Amino acid sequence: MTDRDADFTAYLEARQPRLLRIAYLLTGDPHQAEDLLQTSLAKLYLAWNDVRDRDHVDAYVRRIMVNENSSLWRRAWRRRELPTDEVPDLTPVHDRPDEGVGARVWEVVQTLPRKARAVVVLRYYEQLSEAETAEILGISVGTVKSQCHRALATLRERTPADLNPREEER
Amino acid sequence: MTEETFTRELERRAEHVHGAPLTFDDVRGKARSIRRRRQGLASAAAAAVIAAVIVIPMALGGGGDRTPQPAPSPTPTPAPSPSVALPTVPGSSVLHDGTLQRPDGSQVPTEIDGTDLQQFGVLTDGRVVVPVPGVRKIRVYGADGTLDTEYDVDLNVIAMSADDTLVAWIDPDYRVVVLESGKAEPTTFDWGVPMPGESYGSIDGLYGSDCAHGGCTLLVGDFNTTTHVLTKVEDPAVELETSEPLRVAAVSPDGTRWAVTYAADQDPQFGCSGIYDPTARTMLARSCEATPWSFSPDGQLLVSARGDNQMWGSIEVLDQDLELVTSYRPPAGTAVTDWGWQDPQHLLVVTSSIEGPPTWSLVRVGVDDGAAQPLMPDQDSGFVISE
Repeated sequence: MTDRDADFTAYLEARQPRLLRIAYLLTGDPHQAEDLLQTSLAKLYLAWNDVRDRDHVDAYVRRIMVNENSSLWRRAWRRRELPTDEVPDLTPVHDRPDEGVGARVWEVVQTLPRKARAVVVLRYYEQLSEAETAEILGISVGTVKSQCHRALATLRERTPADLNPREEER
Repeated sequence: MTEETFTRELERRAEHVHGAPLTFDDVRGKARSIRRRRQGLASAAAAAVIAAVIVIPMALGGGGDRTPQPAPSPTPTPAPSPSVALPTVPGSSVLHDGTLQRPDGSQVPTEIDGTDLQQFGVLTDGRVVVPVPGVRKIRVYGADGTLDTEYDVDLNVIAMSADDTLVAWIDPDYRVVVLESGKAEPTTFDWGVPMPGESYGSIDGLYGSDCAHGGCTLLVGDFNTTTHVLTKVEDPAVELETSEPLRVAAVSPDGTRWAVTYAADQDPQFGCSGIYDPTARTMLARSCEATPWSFSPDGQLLVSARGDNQMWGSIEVLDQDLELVTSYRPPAGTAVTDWGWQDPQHLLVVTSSIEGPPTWSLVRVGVDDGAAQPLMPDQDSGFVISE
Protein backbone atom coordinates (compact mmCIF):
# COMPACT_ATOMS: atom_id res chain seq x y z
CA MET A 1 0.00 0.00 0.00
CA THR A 2 1.35 3.42 -0.92
CA ASP A 3 1.73 6.22 1.60
CA ARG A 4 -1.18 7.96 -0.06
CA ASP A 5 -3.43 4.95 0.33
CA ALA A 6 -2.30 4.35 3.89
CA ASP A 7 -3.00 7.97 4.70
CA PHE A 8 -6.45 7.73 3.19
CA THR A 9 -7.17 4.44 4.95
CA ALA A 10 -6.34 6.01 8.29
CA TYR A 11 -8.79 8.80 7.62
CA LEU A 12 -11.40 6.31 6.42
CA GLU A 13 -11.18 4.23 9.56
CA ALA A 14 -11.20 7.21 11.88
CA ARG A 15 -14.00 9.22 10.37
CA GLN A 16 -16.31 6.71 8.73
CA PRO A 17 -18.77 6.27 11.62
CA ARG A 18 -19.31 10.01 11.99
CA LEU A 19 -19.62 10.54 8.24
CA LEU A 20 -22.19 7.76 8.00
CA ARG A 21 -24.31 9.52 10.60
CA ILE A 22 -24.14 12.76 8.67
CA ALA A 23 -25.14 10.85 5.53
CA TYR A 24 -28.06 9.32 7.37
CA LEU A 25 -29.28 12.69 8.58
CA LEU A 26 -28.95 14.12 5.08
CA THR A 27 -30.81 11.28 3.36
CA GLY A 28 -33.10 9.97 6.07
CA ASP A 29 -32.57 6.47 4.75
CA PRO A 30 -29.91 4.01 5.95
CA HIS A 31 -29.35 2.43 2.54
CA GLN A 32 -29.14 5.74 0.73
CA ALA A 33 -26.78 6.89 3.47
CA GLU A 34 -24.39 4.03 2.78
CA ASP A 35 -24.56 4.69 -0.95
CA LEU A 36 -23.95 8.38 -0.36
CA LEU A 37 -21.03 7.69 1.94
CA GLN A 38 -19.32 5.25 -0.41
CA THR A 39 -19.61 7.56 -3.40
CA SER A 40 -18.47 10.58 -1.40
CA LEU A 41 -15.46 8.75 -0.01
CA ALA A 42 -14.59 7.51 -3.49
CA LYS A 43 -14.64 11.08 -4.78
CA LEU A 44 -12.56 12.15 -1.81
CA TYR A 45 -10.06 9.39 -2.62
CA LEU A 46 -9.79 10.61 -6.20
CA ALA A 47 -9.04 14.11 -4.93
CA TRP A 48 -6.89 13.02 -2.02
CA ASN A 49 -3.68 14.47 -3.41
CA ASP A 50 -5.38 17.81 -3.92
CA VAL A 51 -6.55 18.11 -0.33
CA ARG A 52 -3.22 19.24 0.99
CA ASP A 53 -4.48 20.69 4.23
CA ARG A 54 -5.49 17.61 6.16
CA ASP A 55 -7.24 19.79 8.72
CA HIS A 56 -9.81 20.63 6.08
CA VAL A 57 -10.61 17.13 4.86
CA ASP A 58 -13.82 17.00 6.86
CA ALA A 59 -15.02 20.24 5.29
CA TYR A 60 -14.14 18.92 1.87
CA VAL A 61 -15.99 15.65 2.30
CA ARG A 62 -19.02 17.41 3.78
CA ARG A 63 -19.26 19.47 0.63
CA ILE A 64 -19.01 16.35 -1.50
CA MET A 65 -21.75 14.67 0.52
CA VAL A 66 -24.13 17.58 0.23
CA ASN A 67 -23.62 17.85 -3.52
CA GLU A 68 -23.76 14.13 -4.04
CA ASN A 69 -26.97 13.93 -2.04
CA SER A 70 -28.59 16.19 -4.61
CA SER A 71 -27.28 13.90 -7.31
CA LEU A 72 -28.76 10.89 -5.54
CA TRP A 73 -32.14 12.51 -5.78
CA ARG A 74 -31.66 12.82 -9.50
CA ARG A 75 -30.81 9.16 -9.80
CA ALA A 76 -33.84 8.24 -7.74
CA TRP A 77 -35.95 10.03 -10.31
CA ARG A 78 -34.45 8.23 -13.24
CA ARG A 79 -33.93 5.09 -11.18
CA ARG A 80 -32.15 2.61 -13.32
CA GLU A 81 -30.98 0.73 -10.30
CA LEU A 82 -31.99 -2.88 -10.47
CA PRO A 83 -31.49 -6.12 -8.69
CA THR A 84 -28.34 -8.08 -8.17
CA ASP A 85 -28.28 -11.78 -7.52
CA GLU A 86 -27.73 -11.29 -3.82
CA VAL A 87 -28.96 -8.69 -1.42
CA PRO A 88 -25.95 -6.94 0.16
CA ASP A 89 -25.29 -8.06 3.71
CA LEU A 90 -25.83 -4.83 5.56
CA THR A 91 -25.87 -4.36 9.27
CA PRO A 92 -29.28 -2.89 10.05
CA VAL A 93 -29.56 0.63 11.30
CA HIS A 94 -31.39 0.90 14.56
CA ASP A 95 -33.43 4.01 15.00
CA ARG A 96 -34.05 4.89 18.60
CA PRO A 97 -37.73 4.60 19.42
CA ASP A 98 -39.04 8.02 20.22
CA GLU A 99 -42.60 9.27 20.34
CA GLY A 100 -41.88 12.75 21.69
CA VAL A 101 -39.87 15.77 20.65
CA GLY A 102 -37.31 13.64 18.86
CA ALA A 103 -39.96 12.21 16.58
CA ARG A 104 -41.25 15.71 15.83
CA VAL A 105 -37.77 16.98 15.06
CA TRP A 106 -37.15 14.06 12.72
CA GLU A 107 -40.51 14.58 11.06
CA VAL A 108 -39.67 18.21 10.41
CA VAL A 109 -36.20 17.39 9.12
CA GLN A 110 -37.53 14.77 6.74
CA THR A 111 -39.98 17.16 5.13
CA LEU A 112 -37.43 19.89 4.57
CA PRO A 113 -36.15 20.49 1.04
CA ARG A 114 -32.69 19.00 0.62
CA LYS A 115 -30.90 22.30 0.75
CA ALA A 116 -32.66 23.40 3.93
CA ARG A 117 -32.12 19.97 5.42
CA ALA A 118 -28.39 20.24 4.77
CA VAL A 119 -28.38 23.60 6.52
CA VAL A 120 -30.01 22.09 9.60
CA VAL A 121 -27.67 19.09 9.68
CA LEU A 122 -24.52 21.15 9.25
CA ARG A 123 -25.57 23.83 11.73
CA TYR A 124 -27.13 21.74 14.46
CA TYR A 125 -25.52 18.32 14.14
CA GLU A 126 -22.11 19.25 12.86
CA GLN A 127 -22.18 22.44 14.93
CA LEU A 128 -20.70 24.49 12.13
CA SER A 129 -20.91 28.26 12.20
CA GLU A 130 -23.28 30.07 9.88
CA ALA A 131 -20.32 31.16 7.78
CA GLU A 132 -18.91 27.64 7.53
CA THR A 133 -22.30 26.25 6.60
CA ALA A 134 -22.78 28.94 3.97
CA GLU A 135 -19.38 28.24 2.47
CA ILE A 136 -19.97 24.50 2.16
CA LEU A 137 -23.38 24.94 0.60
CA GLY A 138 -22.37 27.84 -1.62
CA ILE A 139 -25.12 30.07 -0.25
CA SER A 140 -25.20 33.31 1.71
CA VAL A 141 -25.07 33.56 5.48
CA GLY A 142 -28.46 35.24 5.29
CA THR A 143 -29.90 32.18 3.59
CA VAL A 144 -28.45 29.96 6.30
CA LYS A 145 -30.10 32.12 8.94
CA SER A 146 -33.46 32.17 7.23
CA GLN A 147 -33.42 28.39 6.63
CA CYS A 148 -32.63 27.74 10.29
CA HIS A 149 -35.29 30.17 11.43
CA ARG A 150 -37.86 28.52 9.18
CA ALA A 151 -36.96 25.04 10.40
CA LEU A 152 -37.30 26.12 14.04
CA ALA A 153 -40.59 27.83 13.34
CA THR A 154 -41.92 24.73 11.60
CA LEU A 155 -40.90 22.60 14.53
CA ARG A 156 -42.71 24.87 16.97
CA GLU A 157 -45.85 24.76 14.84
CA ARG A 158 -45.87 21.00 14.72
CA THR A 159 -44.98 20.27 18.30
CA PRO A 160 -47.83 19.98 20.81
CA ALA A 161 -47.60 22.20 23.86
CA ASP A 162 -46.99 19.27 26.21
CA LEU A 163 -43.88 18.36 24.25
CA ASN A 164 -42.76 21.95 24.00
CA PRO A 165 -41.53 22.88 27.46
CA ARG A 166 -41.84 26.51 28.33
CA GLU A 167 -38.28 26.68 29.62
CA GLU A 168 -37.02 25.98 26.14
CA GLU A 169 -38.76 29.01 24.72
CA ARG A 170 -36.59 31.99 23.97
CA MET B 1 -38.07 24.76 20.73
CA THR B 2 -34.53 25.96 20.41
CA GLU B 3 -31.42 25.26 18.46
CA GLU B 4 -30.33 23.03 21.31
CA THR B 5 -33.41 20.91 20.73
CA PHE B 6 -32.38 20.31 17.16
CA THR B 7 -28.83 19.50 18.16
CA ARG B 8 -29.84 17.12 20.92
CA GLU B 9 -32.46 15.27 18.92
CA LEU B 10 -30.36 14.93 15.79
CA GLU B 11 -27.54 13.50 17.87
CA ARG B 12 -29.96 11.04 19.45
CA ARG B 13 -31.30 10.07 16.05
CA ALA B 14 -27.85 9.49 14.59
CA GLU B 15 -26.35 7.92 17.68
CA HIS B 16 -27.30 4.36 16.82
CA VAL B 17 -26.59 4.44 13.11
CA HIS B 18 -24.11 1.71 12.26
CA GLY B 19 -23.66 0.53 8.71
CA ALA B 20 -21.42 -2.18 7.34
CA PRO B 21 -17.90 -0.69 7.49
CA LEU B 22 -16.49 0.27 4.13
CA THR B 23 -13.02 -1.05 3.45
CA PHE B 24 -10.34 0.73 1.50
CA ASP B 25 -10.94 -1.71 -1.37
CA ASP B 26 -14.65 -0.82 -1.36
CA VAL B 27 -13.84 2.84 -1.74
CA ARG B 28 -11.08 2.34 -4.29
CA GLY B 29 -13.31 0.14 -6.41
CA LYS B 30 -16.00 2.79 -6.45
CA ALA B 31 -13.39 5.43 -7.24
CA ARG B 32 -12.22 3.45 -10.26
CA SER B 33 -15.78 3.25 -11.51
CA ILE B 34 -16.19 7.01 -11.15
CA ARG B 35 -12.86 7.65 -12.85
CA ARG B 36 -13.83 5.50 -15.82
CA ARG B 37 -17.05 7.40 -16.25
CA ARG B 38 -15.32 10.76 -16.01
CA GLN B 39 -12.68 9.76 -18.49
CA GLY B 40 -15.30 8.44 -20.82
CA LEU B 41 -17.27 11.61 -20.95
CA ALA B 42 -14.53 14.18 -20.86
CA SER B 43 -11.79 14.65 -23.40
CA ALA B 44 -12.32 14.79 -27.10
CA ALA B 45 -10.11 12.41 -28.99
CA ALA B 46 -9.46 13.38 -32.56
CA ALA B 47 -9.41 9.84 -33.80
CA ALA B 48 -12.75 9.14 -32.20
CA VAL B 49 -14.25 12.21 -33.83
CA ILE B 50 -13.14 10.98 -37.20
CA ALA B 51 -14.53 7.56 -36.48
CA ALA B 52 -17.82 9.07 -35.41
CA VAL B 53 -18.06 11.09 -38.57
CA ILE B 54 -17.44 8.10 -40.75
CA VAL B 55 -19.14 5.28 -38.95
CA ILE B 56 -22.23 6.69 -37.33
CA PRO B 57 -23.89 8.24 -40.39
CA MET B 58 -23.92 4.88 -42.08
CA ALA B 59 -25.36 3.06 -39.13
CA LEU B 60 -27.59 5.62 -37.47
CA GLY B 61 -29.00 7.19 -40.57
CA GLY B 62 -31.60 4.51 -40.78
CA GLY B 63 -29.62 2.93 -43.60
CA GLY B 64 -26.91 0.35 -43.30
CA ASP B 65 -28.59 -2.79 -44.44
CA ARG B 66 -31.72 -1.10 -45.73
CA THR B 67 -31.07 2.12 -47.55
CA PRO B 68 -28.11 3.32 -49.59
CA GLN B 69 -26.49 6.25 -47.84
CA PRO B 70 -24.65 9.20 -49.26
CA ALA B 71 -20.91 9.21 -48.71
CA PRO B 72 -20.12 10.45 -45.23
CA SER B 73 -18.80 13.93 -44.93
CA PRO B 74 -15.36 14.26 -43.35
CA THR B 75 -16.61 17.13 -41.24
CA PRO B 76 -19.75 17.33 -39.13
CA THR B 77 -22.59 19.21 -40.77
CA PRO B 78 -23.98 22.09 -38.73
CA ALA B 79 -27.72 22.20 -38.42
CA PRO B 80 -29.88 25.28 -38.96
CA SER B 81 -29.95 28.00 -36.35
CA PRO B 82 -31.99 27.44 -33.19
CA SER B 83 -34.69 29.74 -34.42
CA VAL B 84 -35.32 27.47 -37.37
CA ALA B 85 -37.34 24.38 -36.62
CA LEU B 86 -35.47 21.23 -37.55
CA PRO B 87 -37.98 18.41 -37.58
CA THR B 88 -36.53 15.14 -36.47
CA VAL B 89 -38.06 11.74 -35.98
CA PRO B 90 -38.55 10.37 -32.46
CA GLY B 91 -35.64 8.24 -31.39
CA SER B 92 -32.46 8.42 -29.43
CA SER B 93 -29.60 10.74 -30.23
CA VAL B 94 -26.03 9.99 -29.21
CA LEU B 95 -23.54 12.42 -27.71
CA HIS B 96 -19.91 11.50 -28.10
CA ASP B 97 -16.94 13.82 -27.71
CA GLY B 98 -19.23 16.83 -27.99
CA THR B 99 -20.76 15.73 -31.29
CA LEU B 100 -24.46 14.99 -31.38
CA GLN B 101 -25.68 12.28 -33.71
CA ARG B 102 -29.41 12.65 -34.37
CA PRO B 103 -31.82 9.81 -35.19
CA ASP B 104 -31.94 10.92 -38.82
CA GLY B 105 -28.17 10.47 -39.09
CA SER B 106 -27.25 14.14 -39.15
CA GLN B 107 -24.37 15.27 -36.98
CA VAL B 108 -23.90 18.48 -35.06
CA PRO B 109 -20.81 19.62 -33.20
CA THR B 110 -22.12 21.14 -29.97
CA GLU B 111 -20.92 23.33 -27.14
CA ILE B 112 -22.13 20.73 -24.63
CA ASP B 113 -19.60 19.79 -21.98
CA GLY B 114 -19.96 16.05 -21.58
CA THR B 115 -18.02 15.86 -18.34
CA ASP B 116 -20.08 13.89 -15.82
CA LEU B 117 -23.13 14.24 -18.05
CA GLN B 118 -25.64 11.53 -17.27
CA GLN B 119 -28.79 12.71 -18.97
CA PHE B 120 -29.99 14.87 -21.85
CA GLY B 121 -32.96 15.13 -24.17
CA VAL B 122 -33.51 16.13 -27.77
CA LEU B 123 -36.80 17.70 -28.79
CA THR B 124 -38.19 16.99 -32.23
CA ASP B 125 -37.55 20.61 -33.22
CA GLY B 126 -33.85 19.89 -32.84
CA ARG B 127 -33.19 21.64 -29.55
CA VAL B 128 -31.05 19.82 -27.02
CA VAL B 129 -31.95 20.05 -23.33
CA VAL B 130 -29.16 19.37 -20.85
CA PRO B 131 -29.27 19.22 -17.04
CA VAL B 132 -25.81 20.55 -16.26
CA PRO B 133 -23.86 18.37 -13.83
CA GLY B 134 -22.78 20.18 -10.71
CA VAL B 135 -24.76 23.30 -11.55
CA ARG B 136 -28.42 23.82 -10.88
CA LYS B 137 -29.21 24.78 -14.44
CA ILE B 138 -31.02 23.39 -17.42
CA ARG B 139 -29.34 24.51 -20.62
CA VAL B 140 -31.15 24.48 -23.92
CA TYR B 141 -29.00 24.33 -27.02
CA GLY B 142 -30.29 25.28 -30.43
CA ALA B 143 -30.46 22.89 -33.32
CA ASP B 144 -27.04 24.16 -34.36
CA GLY B 145 -25.51 23.02 -31.08
CA THR B 146 -24.90 26.47 -29.63
CA LEU B 147 -26.20 27.53 -26.24
CA ASP B 148 -29.59 29.13 -26.59
CA THR B 149 -31.15 29.55 -23.14
CA GLU B 150 -30.50 28.65 -19.54
CA TYR B 151 -33.03 28.02 -16.79
CA ASP B 152 -32.54 27.82 -13.03
CA VAL B 153 -33.69 24.64 -11.33
CA ASP B 154 -33.41 23.38 -7.82
CA LEU B 155 -32.00 20.10 -9.02
CA ASN B 156 -30.93 19.32 -12.52
CA VAL B 157 -33.20 16.59 -13.80
CA ILE B 158 -35.44 16.40 -16.84
CA ALA B 159 -38.29 14.13 -17.91
CA MET B 160 -39.02 13.61 -21.61
CA SER B 161 -42.22 12.49 -23.30
CA ALA B 162 -41.98 9.29 -25.32
CA ASP B 163 -42.48 11.17 -28.59
CA ASP B 164 -39.74 13.69 -27.72
CA THR B 165 -42.09 16.66 -28.04
CA LEU B 166 -42.11 17.61 -24.35
CA VAL B 167 -39.45 18.03 -21.71
CA ALA B 168 -40.22 18.92 -18.10
CA TRP B 169 -38.37 19.93 -14.98
CA ILE B 170 -39.06 21.55 -11.61
CA ASP B 171 -37.98 25.13 -11.04
CA PRO B 172 -36.49 26.64 -7.86
CA ASP B 173 -40.01 27.46 -6.62
CA TYR B 174 -41.00 23.79 -7.00
CA ARG B 175 -43.27 24.55 -9.94
CA VAL B 176 -43.44 22.22 -12.92
CA VAL B 177 -42.08 23.67 -16.16
CA VAL B 178 -42.63 22.16 -19.61
CA LEU B 179 -40.76 23.12 -22.76
CA GLU B 180 -42.57 22.06 -25.90
CA SER B 181 -41.13 21.29 -29.31
CA GLY B 182 -41.68 24.19 -31.67
CA LYS B 183 -42.37 26.70 -28.91
CA ALA B 184 -39.72 29.13 -27.82
CA GLU B 185 -40.89 29.72 -24.27
CA PRO B 186 -41.64 27.06 -21.68
CA THR B 187 -44.96 26.78 -19.90
CA THR B 188 -44.71 27.15 -16.13
CA PHE B 189 -47.52 25.57 -14.16
CA ASP B 190 -48.78 27.62 -11.24
CA TRP B 191 -48.58 24.56 -9.01
CA GLY B 192 -46.00 21.95 -8.27
CA VAL B 193 -46.02 18.34 -7.22
CA PRO B 194 -47.99 17.90 -3.97
CA MET B 195 -45.47 16.89 -1.34
CA PRO B 196 -45.25 17.29 2.42
CA GLY B 197 -43.55 20.49 3.48
CA GLU B 198 -41.53 22.47 0.97
CA SER B 199 -40.24 19.73 -1.21
CA TYR B 200 -40.15 18.74 -4.82
CA GLY B 201 -41.55 15.51 -6.18
CA SER B 202 -40.89 13.46 -9.26
CA ILE B 203 -42.24 13.83 -12.78
CA ASP B 204 -42.90 10.21 -13.72
CA GLY B 205 -44.46 10.67 -17.14
CA LEU B 206 -45.86 13.25 -19.53
CA TYR B 207 -47.63 13.38 -22.84
CA GLY B 208 -49.86 15.60 -24.94
CA SER B 209 -49.38 18.98 -26.59
CA ASP B 210 -50.22 22.66 -26.14
CA CYS B 211 -49.53 22.61 -22.42
CA ALA B 212 -50.38 26.28 -22.00
CA HIS B 213 -53.98 25.48 -22.85
CA GLY B 214 -54.45 22.29 -20.86
CA GLY B 215 -53.42 19.84 -23.55
CA CYS B 216 -50.71 18.07 -21.58
CA THR B 217 -50.85 15.44 -18.88
CA LEU B 218 -48.08 15.22 -16.30
CA LEU B 219 -48.01 12.25 -13.98
CA VAL B 220 -46.22 13.22 -10.79
CA GLY B 221 -45.41 11.60 -7.50
CA ASP B 222 -43.22 11.24 -4.47
CA PHE B 223 -40.51 9.02 -6.03
CA ASN B 224 -42.18 5.88 -4.75
CA THR B 225 -45.72 6.22 -6.05
CA THR B 226 -47.27 8.24 -8.85
CA THR B 227 -49.87 10.15 -6.89
CA HIS B 228 -51.20 13.11 -8.90
CA VAL B 229 -51.94 14.50 -12.34
CA LEU B 230 -51.27 18.01 -13.57
CA THR B 231 -53.13 19.20 -16.64
CA LYS B 232 -54.16 22.83 -16.40
CA VAL B 233 -51.61 25.54 -15.79
CA GLU B 234 -53.73 27.37 -13.27
CA ASP B 235 -55.10 24.36 -11.37
CA PRO B 236 -53.37 22.35 -8.67
CA ALA B 237 -52.64 18.70 -9.29
CA VAL B 238 -55.52 16.30 -8.78
CA GLU B 239 -55.16 12.97 -7.11
CA LEU B 240 -54.48 10.09 -9.46
CA GLU B 241 -56.93 7.25 -9.05
CA THR B 242 -55.50 3.87 -9.90
CA SER B 243 -56.52 0.30 -9.16
CA GLU B 244 -53.52 -0.10 -6.87
CA PRO B 245 -50.50 1.92 -5.78
CA LEU B 246 -47.99 2.10 -8.61
CA ARG B 247 -45.23 4.22 -10.02
CA VAL B 248 -45.23 5.11 -13.69
CA ALA B 249 -41.92 4.21 -15.34
CA ALA B 250 -42.85 5.04 -18.93
CA VAL B 251 -45.82 6.24 -20.93
CA SER B 252 -46.62 5.01 -24.43
CA PRO B 253 -46.38 7.71 -27.08
CA ASP B 254 -50.17 8.06 -27.25
CA GLY B 255 -50.56 8.00 -23.47
CA THR B 256 -52.96 5.03 -23.50
CA ARG B 257 -50.67 2.58 -21.71
CA TRP B 258 -48.26 3.00 -18.88
CA ALA B 259 -45.34 0.79 -17.92
CA VAL B 260 -45.45 0.74 -14.13
CA THR B 261 -43.69 -0.73 -11.11
CA TYR B 262 -45.33 -1.70 -7.88
CA ALA B 263 -44.37 -3.19 -4.54
CA ALA B 264 -44.77 -6.94 -4.33
CA ASP B 265 -43.75 -9.66 -1.94
CA GLN B 266 -42.33 -11.69 -4.81
CA ASP B 267 -39.51 -9.19 -5.15
CA PRO B 268 -39.20 -7.12 -1.98
CA GLN B 269 -36.06 -5.43 -3.25
CA PHE B 270 -37.32 -3.99 -6.52
CA GLY B 271 -40.96 -4.93 -6.81
CA CYS B 272 -42.76 -6.09 -9.92
CA SER B 273 -43.82 -4.43 -13.16
CA GLY B 274 -46.91 -4.14 -15.25
CA ILE B 275 -48.60 -2.63 -18.26
CA TYR B 276 -51.44 -0.44 -17.05
CA ASP B 277 -54.48 0.85 -18.88
CA PRO B 278 -55.25 4.20 -17.18
CA THR B 279 -58.67 4.52 -18.80
CA ALA B 280 -59.93 1.12 -17.68
CA ARG B 281 -57.79 1.32 -14.53
CA THR B 282 -56.67 -2.21 -15.16
CA MET B 283 -53.32 -3.94 -15.15
CA LEU B 284 -53.05 -5.57 -18.56
CA ALA B 285 -49.92 -7.59 -17.87
CA ARG B 286 -47.68 -8.29 -14.92
CA SER B 287 -44.14 -9.56 -14.47
CA CYS B 288 -41.77 -9.90 -11.57
CA GLU B 289 -38.98 -10.99 -13.92
CA ALA B 290 -38.60 -7.84 -15.98
CA THR B 291 -38.38 -4.12 -15.38
CA PRO B 292 -39.45 -2.06 -18.40
CA TRP B 293 -37.94 1.39 -18.85
CA SER B 294 -39.32 2.79 -22.07
CA PHE B 295 -41.68 2.12 -24.94
CA SER B 296 -40.40 1.87 -28.48
CA PRO B 297 -41.18 4.92 -30.62
CA ASP B 298 -44.19 3.12 -32.09
CA GLY B 299 -45.37 2.03 -28.65
CA GLN B 300 -45.40 -1.67 -29.55
CA LEU B 301 -42.39 -2.92 -27.58
CA LEU B 302 -40.58 -2.09 -24.36
CA VAL B 303 -36.98 -2.26 -23.29
CA SER B 304 -36.21 -3.86 -19.95
CA ALA B 305 -32.98 -4.12 -18.02
CA ARG B 306 -31.75 -5.36 -14.69
CA GLY B 307 -28.38 -4.70 -13.17
CA ASP B 308 -26.70 -2.65 -10.49
CA ASN B 309 -24.41 0.31 -9.90
CA GLN B 310 -25.17 1.91 -13.28
CA MET B 311 -24.21 -1.32 -15.03
CA TRP B 312 -26.49 -3.94 -16.52
CA GLY B 313 -25.63 -7.46 -17.50
CA SER B 314 -28.20 -7.62 -20.27
CA ILE B 315 -31.16 -5.82 -21.77
CA GLU B 316 -34.37 -7.37 -22.98
CA VAL B 317 -37.03 -6.39 -25.49
CA LEU B 318 -40.56 -7.19 -24.32
CA ASP B 319 -43.93 -7.26 -25.99
CA GLN B 320 -47.19 -5.84 -24.63
CA ASP B 321 -47.65 -8.90 -22.45
CA LEU B 322 -44.20 -8.33 -20.96
CA GLU B 323 -43.05 -11.50 -22.65
CA LEU B 324 -39.50 -11.69 -23.93
CA VAL B 325 -39.04 -10.91 -27.61
CA THR B 326 -35.28 -10.87 -27.68
CA SER B 327 -32.34 -10.00 -25.50
CA TYR B 328 -28.81 -8.69 -25.79
CA ARG B 329 -25.96 -9.69 -23.55
CA PRO B 330 -22.69 -7.79 -23.98
CA PRO B 331 -19.39 -9.59 -24.54
CA ALA B 332 -17.55 -11.05 -21.55
CA GLY B 333 -15.70 -8.44 -19.53
CA THR B 334 -18.11 -5.67 -20.49
CA ALA B 335 -21.42 -4.34 -19.19
CA VAL B 336 -24.24 -2.29 -20.64
CA THR B 337 -24.08 1.29 -19.37
CA ASP B 338 -26.75 3.06 -21.43
CA TRP B 339 -29.32 2.41 -24.11
CA GLY B 340 -32.08 4.01 -26.15
CA TRP B 341 -34.39 3.37 -29.06
CA GLN B 342 -32.88 4.26 -32.41
CA ASP B 343 -36.14 3.43 -34.15
CA PRO B 344 -38.93 0.89 -33.61
CA GLN B 345 -36.71 -1.91 -34.92
CA HIS B 346 -33.38 -1.10 -33.27
CA LEU B 347 -31.86 -0.29 -29.92
CA LEU B 348 -28.67 1.66 -29.44
CA VAL B 349 -26.60 0.18 -26.65
CA VAL B 350 -23.45 1.44 -24.96
CA THR B 351 -21.13 -1.11 -23.42
CA SER B 352 -18.12 -0.47 -21.23
CA SER B 353 -15.21 -2.59 -20.14
CA ILE B 354 -15.37 -3.67 -16.51
CA GLU B 355 -11.67 -4.21 -15.89
CA GLY B 356 -8.49 -2.93 -17.46
CA PRO B 357 -8.16 0.26 -19.47
CA PRO B 358 -11.63 1.74 -19.88
CA THR B 359 -13.16 1.48 -23.32
CA TRP B 360 -16.66 2.04 -24.63
CA SER B 361 -18.50 0.64 -27.59
CA LEU B 362 -21.69 1.67 -29.33
CA VAL B 363 -23.69 -1.15 -30.90
CA ARG B 364 -27.01 -1.40 -32.64
CA VAL B 365 -29.25 -4.29 -31.63
CA GLY B 366 -32.10 -5.53 -33.78
CA VAL B 367 -35.32 -6.22 -31.91
CA ASP B 368 -36.22 -9.17 -34.12
CA ASP B 369 -33.18 -11.34 -33.51
CA GLY B 370 -31.02 -9.54 -30.97
CA ALA B 371 -28.21 -9.33 -33.50
CA ALA B 372 -25.65 -6.72 -32.51
CA GLN B 373 -23.97 -4.54 -35.09
CA PRO B 374 -20.88 -2.70 -33.81
CA LEU B 375 -21.07 0.96 -34.71
CA MET B 376 -18.12 2.38 -32.80
CA PRO B 377 -16.12 -0.30 -31.01
CA ASP B 378 -13.45 0.18 -28.35
CA GLN B 379 -13.51 3.95 -27.98
CA ASP B 380 -11.48 5.58 -25.24
CA SER B 381 -14.26 8.04 -24.49
CA GLY B 382 -17.86 7.32 -23.63
CA PHE B 383 -21.30 7.84 -25.13
CA VAL B 384 -24.46 9.29 -23.66
CA ILE B 385 -27.77 8.36 -25.24
CA SER B 386 -30.66 10.81 -25.06
CA GLU B 387 -33.74 10.18 -22.97
